[in-house]
Amino acid sequence: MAAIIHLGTQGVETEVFSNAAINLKSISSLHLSTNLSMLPTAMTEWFYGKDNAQHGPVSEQDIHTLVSSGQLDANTIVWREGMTDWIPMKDVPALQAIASSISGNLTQTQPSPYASTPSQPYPMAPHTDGLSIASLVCGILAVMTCYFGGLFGLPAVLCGHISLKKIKTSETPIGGRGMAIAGLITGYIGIAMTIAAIGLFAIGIAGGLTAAP
Amino acid sequence: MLLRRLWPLCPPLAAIGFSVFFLTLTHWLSSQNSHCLIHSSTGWHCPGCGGTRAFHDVASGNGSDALSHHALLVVGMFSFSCISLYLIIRITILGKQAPQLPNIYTSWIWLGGGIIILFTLLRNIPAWPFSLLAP
Repeated sequence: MAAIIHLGTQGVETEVFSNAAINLKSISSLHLSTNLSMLPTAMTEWFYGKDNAQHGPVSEQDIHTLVSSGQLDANTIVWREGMTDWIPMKDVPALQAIASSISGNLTQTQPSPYASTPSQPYPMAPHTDGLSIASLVCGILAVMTCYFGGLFGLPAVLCGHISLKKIKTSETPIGGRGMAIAGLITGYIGIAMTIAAIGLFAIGIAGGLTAAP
Repeated sequence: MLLRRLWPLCPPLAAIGFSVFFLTLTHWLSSQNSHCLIHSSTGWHCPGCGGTRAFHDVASGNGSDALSHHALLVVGMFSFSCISLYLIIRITILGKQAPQLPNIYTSWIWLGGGIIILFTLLRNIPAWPFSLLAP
């Protein structure tokens, strides 16, 4: 097991072919880590996500200590410079050894009918951006209020754009992208209704004025 | 932060302020003999159609007329006042903390949006049980 996990192209390939159940995501992350392994790894600094917050930087040794003390497990998401995304520790070859050394031993020594049940695939649900909620709520109001849609449409569009940008540039995963997009669409509909109403109303007034002698 | 603790006071105040503004403006607009552009050009009832009439009916205590003009708005107003009242009692009399906004289940908001879309589709069906929803 330890030989498979160690960094280096040879080891990674061995693992890819030996593990039939490996999925695409972990292959890509393995590939990523293969490139990273060319870098000096002595001073690698890891960040990890726990209780909806980002922690770190910590060294690999610290991660080992945290896993041994039970504060982190194989599903904890981690990141280090050069990685494009946060991924669970069990998908990072460099940390797999640490993660599996504890949980792996347990499941191997105590085979139980519950062992195959995944404990919790995502230990921390991504925290939803409040602005995306605000955006959708304003967007719904914008569609509901007819002529006055623009009044709610403007904040909906503003919050939606800010929220989308925040979600895109954030290092930790944030939820609410769908709501931000829905808020943007409904917000723009509201603004369009207001503009159309003002335009037609102005034409109506102008027509009324010219019609009057 | 003060806003974090007292936010339940904001939605009812905003709702009252907006209603006053909305009714003043629509009152003026209807005195100008204007009609809904969407309804007059397409014949469709938009999600807010009949809302002003329903609001007036609620204000004058005419429940059945209000329901026939915009059933969803009446139900929504009732639940909004109940929730606001509960939240205000919760932070004042009970002395508990207001729920944190980002922790509110997002599925509730999706559900609300879905109900509005369904309501809009149903009220535009020109057949008996659905035509009750049209203003």
